[in-house]
Amino acid sequence: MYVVADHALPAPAASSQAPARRLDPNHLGDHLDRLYRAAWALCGSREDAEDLVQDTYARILQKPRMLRSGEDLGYLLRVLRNTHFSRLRAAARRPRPDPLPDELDHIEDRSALGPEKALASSELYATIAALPDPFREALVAIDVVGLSYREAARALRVREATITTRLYRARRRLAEALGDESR
Amino acid sequence: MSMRALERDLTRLADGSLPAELREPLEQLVARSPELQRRLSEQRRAVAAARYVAERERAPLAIRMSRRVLEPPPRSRRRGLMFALAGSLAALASILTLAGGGAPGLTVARAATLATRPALATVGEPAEDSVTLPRLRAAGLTFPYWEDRYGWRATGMRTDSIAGRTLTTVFYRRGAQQIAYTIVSGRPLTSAGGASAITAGDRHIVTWPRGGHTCVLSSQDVSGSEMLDLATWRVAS
Repeated sequence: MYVVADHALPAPAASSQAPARRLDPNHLGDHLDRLYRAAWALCGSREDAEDLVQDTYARILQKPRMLRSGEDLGYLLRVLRNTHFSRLRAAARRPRPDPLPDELDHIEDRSALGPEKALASSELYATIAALPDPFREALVAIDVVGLSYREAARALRVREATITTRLYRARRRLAEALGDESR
Repeated sequence: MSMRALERDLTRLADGSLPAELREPLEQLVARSPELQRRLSEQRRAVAAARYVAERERAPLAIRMSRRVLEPPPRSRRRGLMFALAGSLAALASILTLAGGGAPGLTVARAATLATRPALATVGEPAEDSVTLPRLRAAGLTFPYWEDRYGWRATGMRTDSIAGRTLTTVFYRRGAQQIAYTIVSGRPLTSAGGASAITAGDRHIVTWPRGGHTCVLSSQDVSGSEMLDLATWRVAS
């Protein structure tokens, strides 16, 4: 019989007891794709995501970082998130330059493929980016980046039960936004 | 009974992380409840959508290349490998461009907007008597060293990807004035054979084809004619 209850937390992972070691810059590229997807989901824009990832790497490489084993991706996600909010705050303070008119010239790249393939991804990332911050961060950490619930809770500095509840609500909103195509 | 705890279990059931001993009883409970079936279906749809795009999207080549610029210099035993990797990436970029990868919509004006964005990496100091910036190439082309001759000091660079093209921009500063020099990889954006000057609002833009690619100079502080002088200063590539 199924009984609803808060599950006891498993024993702390061995990594939390492991000695700290220096983050190896040469292995940062291993996480690039997942960080890029996380950045896109946070920003909602491919171009902003590129800037955010580069800013994040620049910030991380400014000085040696000491981490425990297995924490690399969670740590990178936390820096990415903090960098994202720093950029938002800085952008809010800075006067925005007027964009140049796109109709200045109309020279198209005729060799380019149609954008249909990119459209589905862009729409989904934009939908995720529009979620409230706590929901979006939970969904990005677990469904987009692929962290475990425990890793995500540690990266975002919240309880595991909290992040699970936020993830439930995030997915629910995302599903509503996507619509039910089976109906 | 805690509805939140039930929701948390549905969340984990949807992505397969619910402990095995709880899975079957919860599935039986869900089977008896249309409401729980609907909630679980929502969770699964969202998981499927997020995973679908997560598996398809990879970081653009522009980030992969610029990230290497930000990294500390590789150890000597890796240098050969890194150069080989850089060559492979450049070749891949070339192939992608020739194959016409990317989306439409890249214009000279859009390339020139990069002048309003911040530099993301530093530029090394050139050797004495050098006419180009060291270790910095875009689409096989070098960026000029203008400081000794014109007083323009290279202060930083950034790499972007727009519509499937790699755009590498170096920022030059002289006092309070700034110029952005962007090299757009791939087929030339304009059909004009020589340089052309455009004014857009308070911004001056000069563009010209170079080595089969497109160069764009953009500034709010410098006249088009001065930038044409800079553009026509020959650079070894």
